[in-house]
Amino acid sequence: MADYFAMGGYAFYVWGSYILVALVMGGIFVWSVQELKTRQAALDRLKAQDGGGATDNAGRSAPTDDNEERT
Amino acid sequence: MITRFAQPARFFALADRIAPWLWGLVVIGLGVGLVWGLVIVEPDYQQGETVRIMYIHVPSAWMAMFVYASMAVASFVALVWRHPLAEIAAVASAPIGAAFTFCSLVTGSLWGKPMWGTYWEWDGRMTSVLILFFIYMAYMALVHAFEDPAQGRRIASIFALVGALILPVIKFSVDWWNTLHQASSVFRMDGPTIEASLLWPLLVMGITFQLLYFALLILRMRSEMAAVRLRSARLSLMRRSQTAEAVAS
Repeated sequence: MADYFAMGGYAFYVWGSYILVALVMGGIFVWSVQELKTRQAALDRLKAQDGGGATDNAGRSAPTDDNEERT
Repeated sequence: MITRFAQPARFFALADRIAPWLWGLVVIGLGVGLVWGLVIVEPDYQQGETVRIMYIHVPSAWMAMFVYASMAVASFVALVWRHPLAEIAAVASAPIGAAFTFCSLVTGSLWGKPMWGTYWEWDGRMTSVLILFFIYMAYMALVHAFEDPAQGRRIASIFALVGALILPVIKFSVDWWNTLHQASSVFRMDGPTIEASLLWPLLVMGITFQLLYFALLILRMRSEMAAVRLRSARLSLMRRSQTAEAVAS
């Protein structure tokens, strides 16, 4: 088993590569989930402050306030 | 306006249904691909165990280019048809593409050291992929460089199209400047020259990385969509309070 992990003396390069890719791709996943949560929460707060009613539960805005962003 | 909005709503409804399946396939693909590439494949007679780096290096490099090509197509659609989803897809793709490019550069470096004796060489392939990484960075900086987000996205779209010129340079760099990096052994006119026992696990990892891109893309598009809505909600709130003030005074 220790033999396997030694990767014929190339452990640093082989495991280093795999760990790096796992960290980078895992990192982008975690960051994206956090970002989405933060933005969604801010959106929900804003809608609640606005008197509510403009957003349904899934956070979809009513079409009325959607035209500004397209201009 | 309603039909334009209906499309993103329909898209996200469909995407939400597909996403769990994508993530499931990514997990299965990673399980199969990692065991295959890290355990089952025999060490190479020349490269020894370092050949295993190929199973993440090559798919990362494929995705570095594929994501950029998708971004360029999305930018083109955004510029020509002004489709809001296309713009969001391009913006959402950039960090994913940059991440894949970074992975391909660093894993290549970690493979180069034991096999070529150097972490880095200004070889055609490596230099052109490094330029691709900088293009991703510049694109992301451009998107947020303007006060008007719509203008930022439009200028970034034009930049993404011009930047697509790097793709053929990367593809043919190994033929034009035959220095250190080996030539293609999978996507060749005369078919793959790589050994089949090495090719299959590579394809599994390639497909898995592809699915990972789509799964991350859906996630990031939701996030970008939320940002767009947040901005427009803030704007309308501001406008309303301004009107209220004007009425009161």
